[in-house]
Amino acid sequence: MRLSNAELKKSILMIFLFLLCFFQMGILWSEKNPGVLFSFSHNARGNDFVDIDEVKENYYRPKAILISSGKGDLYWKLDSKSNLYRSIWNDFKDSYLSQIIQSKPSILDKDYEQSWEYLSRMKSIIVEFEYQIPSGVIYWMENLDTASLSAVSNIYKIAIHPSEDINNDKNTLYVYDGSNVYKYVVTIKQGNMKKEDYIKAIETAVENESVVPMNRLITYNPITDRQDLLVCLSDEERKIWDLLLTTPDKIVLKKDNIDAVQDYLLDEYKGSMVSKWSEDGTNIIFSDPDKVYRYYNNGLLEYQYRNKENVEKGRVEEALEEALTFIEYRRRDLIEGAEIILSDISDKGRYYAFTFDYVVDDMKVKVLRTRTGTVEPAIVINAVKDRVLDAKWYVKTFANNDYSNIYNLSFFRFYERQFIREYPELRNQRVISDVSNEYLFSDIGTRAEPFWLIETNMNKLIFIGMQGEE
Amino acid sequence: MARKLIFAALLFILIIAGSVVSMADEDNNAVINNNTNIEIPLEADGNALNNFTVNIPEYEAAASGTENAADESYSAEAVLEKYGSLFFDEEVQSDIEFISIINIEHDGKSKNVGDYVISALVSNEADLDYDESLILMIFIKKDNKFELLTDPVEGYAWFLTKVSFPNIGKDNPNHIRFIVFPKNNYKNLELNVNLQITDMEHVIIAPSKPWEKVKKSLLNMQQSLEYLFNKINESE
Repeated sequence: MRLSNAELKKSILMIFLFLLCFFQMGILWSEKNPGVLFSFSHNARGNDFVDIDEVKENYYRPKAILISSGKGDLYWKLDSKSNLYRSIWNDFKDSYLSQIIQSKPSILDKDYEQSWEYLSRMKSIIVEFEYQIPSGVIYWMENLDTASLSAVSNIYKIAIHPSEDINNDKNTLYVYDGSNVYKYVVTIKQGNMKKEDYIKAIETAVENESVVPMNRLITYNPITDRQDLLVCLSDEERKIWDLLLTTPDKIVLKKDNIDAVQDYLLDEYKGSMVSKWSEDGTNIIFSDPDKVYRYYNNGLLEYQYRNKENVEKGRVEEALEEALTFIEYRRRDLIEGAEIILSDISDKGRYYAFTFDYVVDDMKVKVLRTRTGTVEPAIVINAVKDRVLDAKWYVKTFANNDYSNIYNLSFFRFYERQFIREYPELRNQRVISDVSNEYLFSDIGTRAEPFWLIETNMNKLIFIGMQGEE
Repeated sequence: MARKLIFAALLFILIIAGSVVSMADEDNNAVINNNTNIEIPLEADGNALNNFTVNIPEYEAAASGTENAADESYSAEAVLEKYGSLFFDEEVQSDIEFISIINIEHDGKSKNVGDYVISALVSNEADLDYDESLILMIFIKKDNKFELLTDPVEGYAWFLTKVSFPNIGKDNPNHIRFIVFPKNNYKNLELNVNLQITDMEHVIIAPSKPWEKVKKSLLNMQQSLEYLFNKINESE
C-alpha cells in the first residue's frame, strides 16, 4: 500500500519531532548528570590510568643532607640540585634503605654509639627526613616484600660514618628513629658511591661551592631548647624569584567550563554526580550519596567521603597509596613548575593524615589564609586503606614572577634587623622551636613571596617577609 | 489511527521525561561541614600578602628617627677620644651588665686557628627600650696597650662578631676587654651607670703538629710494647 503525499509529510515531521525530543532529553540529561552509560559531552581527558609505582618515589626525599664538620656545631647543607646530593640520595633509594629495612642491626658496643647527639657531631654525612617515616612506607616505596619485619619502626635521621669500617665495600650507618639509635653495616654495591668518595666529600666540604654553612643555634643563642636546630649564621646570599601562582586554565571555575572541571577534578564516577552552584557563584558542589566535592574559584578543592563510620583503617602504606593516587589522578596536565612532596604522616587513630607541600627551588610553598591569618599546607589528605576520606587541596600551577631579589640567609641578621623589632617582647626569650625559609601565597592572590617562618613553643607561627638587598 | 495515537503518546512521554530531567535538582544535603571559604572572592590581582609583610610602621618611624638623631653626631672615634682614659684604665671593671658573653667559638669556616666568633646577648638586666641599641667595642691588650680587635658593632639583642686573635698557645692568652654602652648615652658615659667594662682571657690551644702526632704514636707504641713484655715476663 502506498502512502499518500500528506501522510508521508506527516510521518517525516513526526520522526523529526521524535528525534528532536530525544536529543532534547539527552542534552538535559547530560547537563544535570543523573548518570548515564554514555556521555553526551566530550571527555577532555584521555588515558586516566595512573601507575602509582612509577611516580611514588618522587613524593619523598630528605629534608636535608648535611655534612658534619666534626667540630660539633658546624654543618654544611647540600643543595638538592648538586651532584653530591643526588648521588647520596640515589645510594639510599637504590640500596641502603632496603638493606636497612631488611637486615638486623649490629650490636652497639661503644657507649657513644647510643647517643645520636654525639654521633651527629662526629665527622659524617647526615641524611635528615622531615618526619619519622614508618618502616611500612619504606617497604612500599622501595617495592620490598613486607613479610619480614624491620627492627627499626621509623626512620628519622641517618648518619653515614664511612671511615668506621675497615672494609672497602662496607659503609657504617647509624639510624635514628627519634628515640633510639641502630647501627647497620651495609654493603657498597656496584653503582653506589665509593667509600673514598664519601670520605672525600666530608674532608672537602669547606671547598664545595654548593653548600650552605649551618650552625647549631643553641650554641650561639639559647633562644631555643632544640639541640638539633640548625640555622645559617653567616652572610650567605641567594637570588629568589617571586612566584606567580594561578589556578590552571583548564579548571578555572566558569559556567561554561564545568565539564572540564569535572573531568579533571572528580573521580571516575563523575557521571553520577549532581552539581549545584553556590548562591554567590564562588564555588560549586558536586555530590552523590557517597561523596561531596566542593570547588572554589580560587582553586581550592575540598572533598569528603560521607560514610566515614564504615571504613577500615588498614596500614599506613595502603592509605598513602590512596592519597597519592588521589593527587596523581588530578595533577597531570594541570600543575607545572613545582614538585609535590610528602611533608608529614600522622596517625589520627581512625585514619592517617598526610600533609603535602608544593616545593620550588628547595622552598616549600604554603598558603596564607587571609580570613584567619594562619599559614597552612597546600594539600592535606586524610585516608584509610581503601579510600580517601577528606582532602583539601589548593590546585595551583607555578611560574617565576617578574620580580627577583638577592636575599641574605643569615638568621642572626634577620633576628636583629626584623624579628626583635617586630616582636620586642620575645627578645632573647627561649621560645623558638623551628626556623625555615618558605614561600607564602595568599589564598585570594596570585603571588608567592619568600618569608621567614618561626615556630614557637607557644604553638604560634610567626611569619615575616624576607628583606631583599636591592 | 492507532499508529498515530501510539506515536503521540510516545512523544508525550518523552516530553514529560525531558521535563522531569530538566526540573531535577541537586542534593540539598551536600554539605562540607568544615568549610569556611564560602565567601572567598574571585582571585585578585592585588597581592594580599602585602598586608602581612614586615614591620610595624610606628616602630620603623620611631627607630629610624632615634637612629638618625643619634647617627647625626655619633662617631666611634670621638667616643674613644673622649673616654679613652676611662676605657683603657687597666684597673677598672664594672658591675653593670648590658651584655653577657655566651660563646667564643672557633670559626669552622676558617683554616686559621685564631679566627673565632664571639656571641653575646643583651642581658635581661639591661633596662633598655625596644628601640634602643647598644654599642659593643672589643679590644685586645698588646704590649700594655688596648687595640680594637674588630670594628665597633651596634645591636639590639644579639651580637655575633668575627674576630682574629693574635695569640696562640696556652702560655700566651689573649686579654680581651669588652666595652658596652647604650648608643643614645654616648655623650654622658659613666661607669656602672650606663657603661659596662668587662675583661676576659681567652686561650687558644694550638693543634698538634704532624711530627708531634708521630711522636705521640711512637710513645704509645713503646708503652704498649713495654706492657706486652711485662706480661710475657710475668707469665714466665
